[in-house]
Amino acid sequence: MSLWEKFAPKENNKALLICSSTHHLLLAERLLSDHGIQSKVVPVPQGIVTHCTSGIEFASAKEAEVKELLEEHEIAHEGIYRL
Amino acid sequence: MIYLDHAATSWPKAPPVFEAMKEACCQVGGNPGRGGHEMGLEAGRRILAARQQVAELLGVGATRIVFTKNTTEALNLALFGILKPGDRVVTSSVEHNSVLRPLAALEKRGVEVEVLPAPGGRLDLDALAQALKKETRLVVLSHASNVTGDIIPLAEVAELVRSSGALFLADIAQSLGYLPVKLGELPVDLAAFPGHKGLLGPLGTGGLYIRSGIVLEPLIYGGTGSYSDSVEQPEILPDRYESGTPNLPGILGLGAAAEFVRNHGSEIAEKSLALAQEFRQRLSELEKVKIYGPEKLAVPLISVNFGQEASEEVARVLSEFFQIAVRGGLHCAPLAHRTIGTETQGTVRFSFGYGNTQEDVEAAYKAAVQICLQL
Ligand SMILES: Cc1ncc(COP(=O)(O)O)c(C=O)c1O
Repeated sequence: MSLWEKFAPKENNKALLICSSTHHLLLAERLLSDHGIQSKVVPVPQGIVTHCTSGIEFASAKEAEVKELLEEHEIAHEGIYRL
Repeated sequence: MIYLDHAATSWPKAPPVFEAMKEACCQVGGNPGRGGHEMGLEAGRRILAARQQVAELLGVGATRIVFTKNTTEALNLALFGILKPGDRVVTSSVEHNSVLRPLAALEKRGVEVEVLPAPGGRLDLDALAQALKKETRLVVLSHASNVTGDIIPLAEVAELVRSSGALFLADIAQSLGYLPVKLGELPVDLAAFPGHKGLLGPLGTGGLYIRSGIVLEPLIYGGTGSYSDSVEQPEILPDRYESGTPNLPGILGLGAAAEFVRNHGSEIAEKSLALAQEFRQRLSELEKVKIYGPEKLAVPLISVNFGQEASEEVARVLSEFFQIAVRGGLHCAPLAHRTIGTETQGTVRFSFGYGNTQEDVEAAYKAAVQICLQL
């Protein structure tokens, strides 16, 4: 279990969006919030290979909607992972 | 939030800083140096006063100070302004990417770059002396490391470089405001500084000190409000390196900040250092905490790790669950981490400054204990 999980209450069915830079991460956070999708900036768990250290956690049920928004708004991202 | 990330940028800023910035927005309207009206002239006078305030703090003449948007821009101006293909430049492995990346770009253009080792974060002075036996155009070194807080003996290093015939560019990003840096009394040729760290000035401000007699190729060309009849960039300072409309609110804030630090800086530095030193002492009692950098601190920052935990994750945990702002990761200095063996883990950096209290040390220590209990 990661250090974060020891402090954070465990939540199920979450997805993690990893963006290509902080600028795009914050754009995505704003975009999700504008579309009423709850999200939270969290550390990227070890095991996911990326140069980014933070990602955006959101309910995995929203994944398709999030993907569409990212495409539509040309937000540079590396991927979406199921947690 | 308890703010322990002063090495990234100080917070809060000194009260006279926001007063000066507000005044710049509400009462000083014109574009300095553009056109002959009184409002423009007044803006110009205010910028001159700010330049004098900064110069006074550094112990140099006001005309030798060029304002930039941060240390990085100042370093770029110095490096690209001096180094030509075929020149040799010497630096060290603890430097920030604001030095290493411009040098990597210059290397592609035919500049020879030598990166000196800094075992454990400390520059090897013998290696520097050795490197200077080869003809060298410039030496660029940080006064204090933003990763370990190690410092170089600035006067000694500057002497050594001067006697070799090379120019010396000092990156004083982490020392200015915490250590006395009287540039006029040292054989330092160029010094890049932030307005927004130890000076307690606004983000987006900084500058470059250029010793008299040194001429750089500008980084940016354009209108200076002077010599407008010519399309050639003027030779005079600071105009040569300050084309375009300046950041008036930022610069006036920076001037007020320099004045504040000149009056109160030594108290703030002493207190910050004492808090950081005490925090270091208390952390050293925790078995699972590894501390990097000198035992006796010179600047108020400490890099540590908690067991094998990724430093960014520890930083996020401290922020989210303890409301303590610290920086994790590589701090833009990849080679420095190689020298202390933390290139994958990074470090958790606690940096103290203006406004921090004994209670902050207490809270940070308790959070560290809680984290250790979870390892
Ligand atoms: C040693 C060192 N050099 C340069 C910089 C870059 O400073 P700035 O953010 O003002 O461009 C920093 C700050 O992060 C630093 O610590």
